[in-house]
This record gives sequence, C-alpha cells and structure tokens, in this order.
Amino acid sequence: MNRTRVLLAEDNATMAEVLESILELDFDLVATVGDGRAMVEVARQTEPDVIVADISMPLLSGLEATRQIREHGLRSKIILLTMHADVPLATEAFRAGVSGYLLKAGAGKELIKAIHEVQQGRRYISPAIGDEAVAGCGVATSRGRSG
Amino acid sequence: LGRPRAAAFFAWIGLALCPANLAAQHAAAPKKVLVLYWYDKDYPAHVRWQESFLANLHSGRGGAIEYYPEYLETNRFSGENQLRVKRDYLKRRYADRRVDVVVAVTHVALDFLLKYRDEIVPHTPIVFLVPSRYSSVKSAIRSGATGIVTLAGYRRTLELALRLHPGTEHVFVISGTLERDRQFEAMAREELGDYDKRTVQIHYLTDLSPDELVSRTKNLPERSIVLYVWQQAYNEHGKLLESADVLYSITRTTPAPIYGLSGPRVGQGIVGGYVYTLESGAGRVADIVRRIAGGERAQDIPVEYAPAFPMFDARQLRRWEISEDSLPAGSIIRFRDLTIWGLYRWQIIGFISFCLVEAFLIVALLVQGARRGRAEAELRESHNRVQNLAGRLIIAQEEERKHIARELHDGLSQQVAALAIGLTGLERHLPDTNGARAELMSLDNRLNELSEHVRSMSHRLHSSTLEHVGLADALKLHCSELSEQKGIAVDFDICGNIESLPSDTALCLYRVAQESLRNVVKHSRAERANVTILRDGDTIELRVADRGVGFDPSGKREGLGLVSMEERVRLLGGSLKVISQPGDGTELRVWVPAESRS
Repeated sequence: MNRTRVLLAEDNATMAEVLESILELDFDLVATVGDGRAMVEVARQTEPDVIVADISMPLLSGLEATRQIREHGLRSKIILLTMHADVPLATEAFRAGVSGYLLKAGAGKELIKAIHEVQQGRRYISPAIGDEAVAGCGVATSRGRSG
Repeated sequence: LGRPRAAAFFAWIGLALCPANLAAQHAAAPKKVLVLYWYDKDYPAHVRWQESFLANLHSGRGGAIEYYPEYLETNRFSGENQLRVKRDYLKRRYADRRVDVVVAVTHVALDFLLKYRDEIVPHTPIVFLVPSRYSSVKSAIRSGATGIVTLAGYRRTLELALRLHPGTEHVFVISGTLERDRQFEAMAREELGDYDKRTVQIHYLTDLSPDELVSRTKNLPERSIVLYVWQQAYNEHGKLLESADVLYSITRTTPAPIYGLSGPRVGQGIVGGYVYTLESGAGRVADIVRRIAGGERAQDIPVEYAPAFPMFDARQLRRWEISEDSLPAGSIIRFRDLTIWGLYRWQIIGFISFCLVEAFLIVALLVQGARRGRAEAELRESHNRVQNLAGRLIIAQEEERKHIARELHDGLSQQVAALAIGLTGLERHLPDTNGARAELMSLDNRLNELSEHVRSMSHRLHSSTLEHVGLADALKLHCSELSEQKGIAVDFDICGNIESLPSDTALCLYRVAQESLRNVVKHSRAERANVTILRDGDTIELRVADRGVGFDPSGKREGLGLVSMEERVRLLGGSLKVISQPGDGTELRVWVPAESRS
C-alpha cells in the first residue's frame, strides 16, 4: 500500500522542522511551504492526500487557502493547526471544508492519529477545544471528536 | 381799662427814644436821584439806558438810593414854551422834596438843567451824559457839574470807511435837527474840516426834508459814501420822523454805502462805524451818582470820556463784500447769520460726544470680540489637537498590542509548541527506564501550560478571533469566557445583520464592549449583564447593561476607561451615552455608523 502523501504548510521554521520530523517517519512528505498562496499552488500541482496547514500564514491564511483549494475541486483532506482554542474559529474552519482542527501544542501526540482519522473520512478536533466548547457559550458546531 | 393803653404808650416812648433805633433810621434814609431824560418814557434808548443805570446804581455798596425819572418829551412837546411848562411842573413837584443828585441824559436835558436847575432843585449837583464837541459842556463843568462825555467818531469813522472803500471821491454827511441849528454839521466840520480835499470831497446834506434827501441820495455820483450822523424831520403831514425813520427812507434808494455814528443805527441800514450808545455810559453815570450820594463833591470828580467803538452789521459787510479781517481789532459784529453750529452748538457737541463714546464702546467691543474669537479658535484648535492625539494614541496602542500579540503568538508560542511536539517525539522513542516517561509527561504538561498561558496573553492583547470570525462570534466568545472566568452571567443578543462591518468599526465595538464588561465586573456587583448589538439602517447600536449598584454619571470620572471608549467612538463619528443612577444599574449605549467614514 502506498504511503500517504502529505503536504506541510507552516511559516514558522522551527515548527516546520519539528513537524517534518514527525511526518517523515510515517508519511510521504511531498513538500513544505511557508505561505498560504504557495500551499494552494503546490496542492494543485501535487494533489496530496492530506494537507497539514498552519491557520495563520502570510499572504493567505490557512482558512482562506482551504476555501480556494475547495473551489479548485481538489479532494485533499486538510488539517488545520492552530494556536487558538477558539470554538467559533473551529466552526468556521469546518464550514470552509477542513477535516481536522488541531491545537499545535498537542500536535506531537495527535497529528499522526488525526491524519489517520481524516484518511478514513472522519473529522478530527483537538480534545482541548472540545472541552472548552462544552464550557463555552454553547455555540453549536459540526465538530466530532474523533469520528 | 386804662392800664393796657398806658403800657403801650410807654413802650412806644421807649422805642422812639432808643439811640440804636435813631441811628438805624438815619442810616436807612435814602438818597434821591432825579434823572431827566430828553425824550419820552417809551423811547427805546431810554429804556435800555434806564435798565443799565439802575442795575449799576443798586449793585454797589452804600445806602439806598431812590430813583425819580422825569421826561422832557421834546419829541412831542418842543419849543421854549413847553420847556417852561415843564420847569413849572417840576418846580412844584420837587418843592418839598430834597433831591441829592440830578442827572441829565443828553445835551438837551443838560441845557434845560443849566437854565432851570436852581428853580427846580436848587444847588443840586448835576451829572451829565453828553456827546463831545457840545458847546455847553464847558460851561456846565465850570458850574460844578460832572459826567461822561461820549467822544464822537466822525474822523475815525470816515478814515475807516475810506480804507474799506478805496478810491472813494465823495463823502456826503447827513445831519439835521428839528431846531435846524446845524449843530451836528458844526461838530462834523470841526472834526473833518482839515481833511485833505485832494483825496475826497465832503458834502454836507444838512436839514433837508426827507423827500429832498431821498432824491439827492438816489443819484449820488460813483465812488461816494454816506456818513449818516443824525436827522430828524417832519414829513408833509407834519408827522415827526425820527432819525431811524429818515435813515430807513434813504437806505432803500441810495447806491452808496452808509456809515454812521450811533449804535442803534447798526442794523437799520448802515454798514457800521465808530459808534456811541447811550446805554454804554449809563453804568459809569451810576457810579458817579453813588459817589456823590456817598458824600463826594461833584466838582471834585473829573469828567470821563467814553470813546466810540467799532460796530458793524454783518449783512451790510456781506453786501459790500467787506472782509471781517479788514475791520479794526475788537470790532463788534452784529446780525450774523446764526449758523447751525451757533444755534445748536451744545446739542452738536453732545451728540458728537455721544457718538464718539458709542464708537469707542463699539470698537472696544469689537476688539474684545475679536480677541475672544481668536482665543476660542485657539482653544478649538488645541482641543482638536488633543482629540487627534488621543485618537492616534488609541490607534498606536492598538497597533502595539497587535504587534506584541503577534510576536507572542508567532514567535514565543510557536517555539513552545514546537518544543512540546519535539518532547512528544522524544517520548515515543525513549525506553521507559527509571520513570523517565513520567518525567517527560510532566515536562510535556508544563510546556502545554506555558503554551496556553502565552496564548491567552496574546489573545487578551489582541484577539485574532475578531479578524478570523467577525464581531458577533468574537463577542459571543468573549461573553462566554467572562461567564466562565468571572462568575457573572453575560447574555449576548444580536438583532439585525452585522456581518461585513469595517474592521475598525468591529474593533471599536469589540473594545468598547470589552472595556464596559470589565467595568461591570469591577464595579457593578451585578450577577447578570446583557450585551446587545442592534442594527438600525446605517447605524449600529451597542448596549451593555447591568442591574448593579450604578453610579452618578455627572460625578467625577476616574480612570481612562470611559474616556478611551468615548474617544474610540468619536474617531468613528459615533456617540456614546451612559445612563445610570446610584442603586439602579448602568447602561452604556453606543451608536456608530455601519459604514466606515473614510
């Protein structure tokens, strides 16, 4: 079975390096890009299985890049990495067409699992966001914990 | 019955014999002055003379003087016979009355007195007022009389007239008396007799009838002037024509300028001249009378001379085109047209003063107004600068917060997250010896806490949520966070569409809500609060209300919270209102335009 092809979009160099080291062990890392616009370009060229993207990037945010990729009809699964545990933002992300929403701090543990989950056609959201959502103002979201 | 009468009698005797009373009666005994006038009582010159004479007579110190006027009335009853009738009348009238001084007004009266004084008021000193060159003056002085002699101005008047009318060749002297005695002509000849015949020819028109006089003066040769001295006459009906009447009849017809010697003629057709007036000597005569009444002897008082003085008629000066500058110094000019200045001088001065004061006040007010205007403009300018600065400060603060938040988020936070991920990787590869995994787990947790701490700090400084999800969701999140963290229930409602607001508007409303809720938490002691956003057309309204302790909005404001809220709202062209009173909660209302101003 072919290894899952992953595109990484992350503008922070340290973070990109750490993430690469995790991804390389289990997946075929197609490329690493540093901004949203490059992400859209490379995604169109390489059509990866999964795109792991930082939500806040120069030129185009992860959210906006997601929208453009969906507009182009690409079927790559997209997992957004975020520093924000904001429920509304997560909601917005799922509306835009992402499959996973992951807090960066938990990425070490959750990223591999999350990639596998979205590969299976399920959605993934960090448990930390889910907990906050329970304690928050009760905005309804379409999130699912793992599946 | 007899007692009161007796008492009254003795009292009367006592009073009568009292020496003080006698002395008082003696001192109070008035002196008597008889003034003999030439004409009748109503003659204008006499009226004026009498007025001046009496005013001077009673003004000086000394005892009281009784005044007895008598009138020869030679204008109505002329002739020697009439004078004798008068003499008899006066003789009987003053037979038992001692007169102290007798005054002769004019030479006619003096002649009469020189003749009959001793029959009427024997030995009474005479004071006279007569023209000079009059023949009987010398004999009067010899007989002990004194008085005033008015100097006739024939020569000076003629010289003046010739100077004012250069090139004059003929001078016509008009005079005449009812007695036809040629006495005026004699006086004139005496004064003018030696006048140089090569320069002017002097003609005397003496004792002509009025008709003759008119016809003669009507056809005077060119370069003639008239010197009108005195002329009385009877007309064809036997009516007496006074000097003024005769003058009047010739002024209308003669082509030459007329000069005169008598003050009252000024104004009756003459240009002017060195004139005498009867009344000008009246005051001095009164002085002499008082001295004699006071005990001085008449013959010890020297005769005074009253010079004629220059007097002119302004209308005649204009007619003959004579400049006032060419007249002798000290000339009296009568019948000047009263100018508006002359008529209303004080009113004009008053009005102009009033206008000046008003103008001064207006100018002062204008200057003050301008100063105040400048001060106000400066104040406005200063206020604008301060507001502008405040606005820029808020923007700068917002920029700085955003910058620090981004630094924390993109720099520090990412590093910490990277560290945590790295740690997780290490954990997977490391065999669990001596509790190393548990140690790593603990480190991992602390890193997560650090990451969360940095994240929330960044969030507080500048919520990127607002940029990512918009105002409604950002506020919703903020409210729920507050409910969770501060134990105060915050409800949030939206009415109307607030999507796609300009970012500065959204930030403003977010910050104002944030600040306001901070105040609610800090001061209100309320358990619930409401945040509402309404859209009404182009206006967005934000309300933050609580049912807490409230405060007095008119009181002193502490802190920068409300000021910075007001400033943020003002920057967007909106307005802000705080409704509160102690014990009755607080509501903040903010209105901002839905569209950005710029």
